[in-house]
Formats: sequence, C-alpha cells, structure tokens
Amino acid sequence: MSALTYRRSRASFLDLSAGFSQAVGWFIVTVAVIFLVIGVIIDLATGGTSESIWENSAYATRYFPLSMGIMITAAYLPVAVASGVTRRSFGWAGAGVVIALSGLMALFEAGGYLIEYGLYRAVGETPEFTTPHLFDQGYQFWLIVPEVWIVVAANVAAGWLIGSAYYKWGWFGPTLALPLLLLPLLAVEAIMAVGWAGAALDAMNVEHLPTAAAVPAALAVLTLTLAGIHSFVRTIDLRPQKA
Amino acid sequence: MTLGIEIENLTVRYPGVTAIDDLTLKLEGGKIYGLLGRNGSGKTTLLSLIAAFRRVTEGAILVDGEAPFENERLTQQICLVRESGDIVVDGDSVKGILRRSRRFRPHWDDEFAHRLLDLFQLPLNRGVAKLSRGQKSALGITVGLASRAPLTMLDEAYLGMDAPSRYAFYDVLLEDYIENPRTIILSTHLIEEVARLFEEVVIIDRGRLVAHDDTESLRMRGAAVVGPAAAVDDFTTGMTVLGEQRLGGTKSVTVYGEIDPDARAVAADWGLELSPVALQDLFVHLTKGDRA
Repeated sequence: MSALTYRRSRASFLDLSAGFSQAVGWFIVTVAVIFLVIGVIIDLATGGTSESIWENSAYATRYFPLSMGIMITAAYLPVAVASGVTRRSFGWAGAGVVIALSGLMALFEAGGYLIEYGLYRAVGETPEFTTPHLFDQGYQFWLIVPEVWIVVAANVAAGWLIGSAYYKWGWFGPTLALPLLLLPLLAVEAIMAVGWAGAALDAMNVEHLPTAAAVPAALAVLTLTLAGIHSFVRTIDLRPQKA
Repeated sequence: MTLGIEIENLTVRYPGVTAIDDLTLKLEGGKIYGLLGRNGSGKTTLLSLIAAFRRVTEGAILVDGEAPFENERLTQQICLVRESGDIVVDGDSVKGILRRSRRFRPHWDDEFAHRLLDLFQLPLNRGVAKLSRGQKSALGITVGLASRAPLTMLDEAYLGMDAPSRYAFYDVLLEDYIENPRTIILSTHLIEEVARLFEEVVIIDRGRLVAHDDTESLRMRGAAVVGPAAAVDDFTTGMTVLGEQRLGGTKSVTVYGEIDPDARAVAADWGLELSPVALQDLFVHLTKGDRA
C-alpha cells in the first residue's frame, strides 16, 4: 500500500467511523440498559434463574453491526468516490471498519459478561450459558474477546457483502443469492461452533474443532471474505442518481 | 495546477441505448468549458467517466495523460458535483459536509467555503435533509468551488438555485478562477445565462460530438440580422433561418452559416446590422431532432 493510498484509506475510515459513531453509541447505551441494567437487576431482584441475561444481548451485537455493514457500500461508497477516493482505498477503509466495529462490540460484550459475573457472584450465583461458547465463565475475557470479535466481524462482513451486491445489481439477483452471500458468515460460525451454530452442531453430534484450530481457521475464512469484498467493491460503478 | 483531458473513441452502451457513441475530444487544461447537450445526450455519463464514477469499457479517457479510474493521484484532483449531490449521507449536516471535504480534498479552502456559505445564506448547523432544493444546490456549488480541484466539473449543479444566487455564483466562479486557474467544465441548460463564462463550448447530441470550438468562433457560425423587414428578408433568402422576430417595420432573423466579407459589405450597404448568433439558438439548431 502506497503512502497516498494509506492516507486516503485512513481519511475514508475516519469518515465512515464518524458516520457510524452516533448510531453505535446509542446502540451500546440501549443494549447496556436493556440487558445489563434492567434485565440483570430484575432477574436478581426476583430471584429468577441463574441463566445469563447478558448472553441474549449477543444477538443484538451481531445483527446491528450486520446492518451497519450493509450501509458501508450503499451509503458511503458514492460519497467516497465523489470525494476523490478510489475504491481500493475505500475497500481498505471498509475492512478497517469491519475490524474496528467488531472489536468494539467484543470489548463491549466482554465488559458486559464481566459486570454480570460480578453482580451474580455478589448474590452467590454464577451465570450459566445456554449456548456453546469458547468460554465457560463470564470473567474469561481472553476467550470472550476473540470469540465475539471474530463472529461479529463475520456478521459485519456479511452485511458489507450483501449491501455491495444490492448496490451493484439491484434487489432481484442478490435476493435470490442471499444464501450464498451468507455462506462466509455461516462458515465462520460453524467453524467456531458457538452460538446457534454450535448448538446445531451439538444437536447433530458433530465434534467441535479445538479452539486452537477453530480460531485460525475462522480468521482465514474472514480474511478471504474481506479480500473478496475488497476486490468486488473495486468493480462497482456509481449508480445514476435519482431525479 | 490544471488538468487536460483526452478522450479517444469513447463508447458507452446501456441496455437498449448508446449513451456515448465513438466520442473523440481533447480539452486543454486551464479553461472554462461549457458542455451542452439535450436531456439524455450523454453529458452526465461523460462527466461520470472522467471523474472515475464509472469504468471505461470501450475507448479511453486520459486526464493529465493517465486513466483516472482507480488512480489515487488523479481522483483526489478531480471534483464532479452532480445535480443532486453525491457527497451527502442521510443525517449529514452542512458542517459535516464541510468536515468531509476538508478531510478528502487536498486543495480545500475552508475560509472560501465559509464565504460561499454566507453568500448563499446556508445555515452551518442545519441538516442537509432540511435544506431546500436551491440550498442543496448551493451546498454542492460550495463544495465544488472550495475544493479548488484542478479539474472541477459541475453537472447542472446550480439548477435549483434562484436567479440572484445563480448570478452570484457566476461572479464568484469567475473571480476564483482568475485567482486560482484550473480546468472547469460546466454542464447546463441555462445556456444564455452561463455563456459569458465559457471559453470553449462542447456540444454533444446522442452521445456524438456536434461541435467543439471557442465560444466566439462558434457564435460566428451564424448571425443575427437586424434591420428593415424587407431588406432583412431579401438578405436572408436562401440562408438557414434559425428564428425570427418582428417589431413594427424592424425584423431580426437569426441565420446559421458563415457570412462572407462580400455579403457583410452588402448588409452594411443595406443598413443591416449583423451580430454573432446567440449560443442558445445555435445549440437548438445543432441538436434539433424529432425526439421528445
């Protein structure tokens, strides 16, 4: 990457980040309030089950970033190209956003698990998880962070791929091809054997890959997916404007 | 710094229509060009290709000797503002647009941008979605001019602005161009209003080049003949008449075609006044056809 491409990619990354920051900020506050404050407090106050409430927030922290991923090309590629940024630089910026947004979600999730663990322990309980994870205790942030980071990154990347396909080809073809567009995401989740994919593998009695193999394999699929999207984005023409 | 453009055998086909048809054109850097054409003539497609919004598939476009598509050095020097603006994401404010332009445009002049916002009375903190159409156009103009891109292209970007704002834009464009020479291409339907700015005019129709000349030479391709009605009628007999007007005994007839010195001498003898043809009349003549 040349110095100029780096500078333009960085500028585009900052533009995307600035655009997403407000929505992401509100999302984090909303999820924290709903699951951590209201959910855990009610659960502890009413002497409910010791099941982890925070674990349910994982769906929100996957699908919201996926929707952000859909917007990367649809909303920001025209702006970037019209501002003199090449698709190559924009592609690097988009990949940066996938990594940064999922990293943020990973830290957020890990923080939530840690706080929940502390609250449960304070009343003599231990949060229990209902779906498979790489971790089995809420304080194991060194396992929570990579798990959530990789899975959320796969979701954002899937959103970016879907959004790019809809931008390039319109609604009909990509709608038919949605299962294909979701394939990298499904592959990452299956390799990691966490969440619903892990539960489905358990139900089929399929043995999980050891963590030491699953993480590099999932990272490899993610890297290939991002490289593929980067190449794909470079072929996209800006659409004519609506009158 | 200015950028020249060379276009060779450029063809763009959309399903069922050829938008650009084997177009070859050379534009020197450091001039203001008027790009004229009817609706659907290929103007926006041409500008989009020059700005690397689209990839060239047949023929070639060179800006400063290089193809602009995915060319980092060039794309940051090219600014195309289309009619309804590509630089806005839902939820952006005017201030946000300026911040973005400052980030991406290497020659951005923030002080000039704020002066233009004052000139067009654009509120800095207002959301772009809440701006009127004219204000959105003025914002596009502000970004287009304050970017000071060596190749600046405005594609009907000022269509929604009211007349005082448009005239203010013409003045400020000329003033800034003199201070900061660059290549400027203006695509417009408001031909007579903007004609005074053009150093050269390019007319395209159905994707083909119809005319490319400096403005005065182009206007000299025809003439407006004014004088006593009978003398005007006699003088213009056999010429291609583009239009005529009559007021009492005086008549004005616009004709297309070169008028040689002998004919000009005859016109003077007959008391007729000859003046260059209006660019708009010429444009209408050169692009008239039977389409809607």
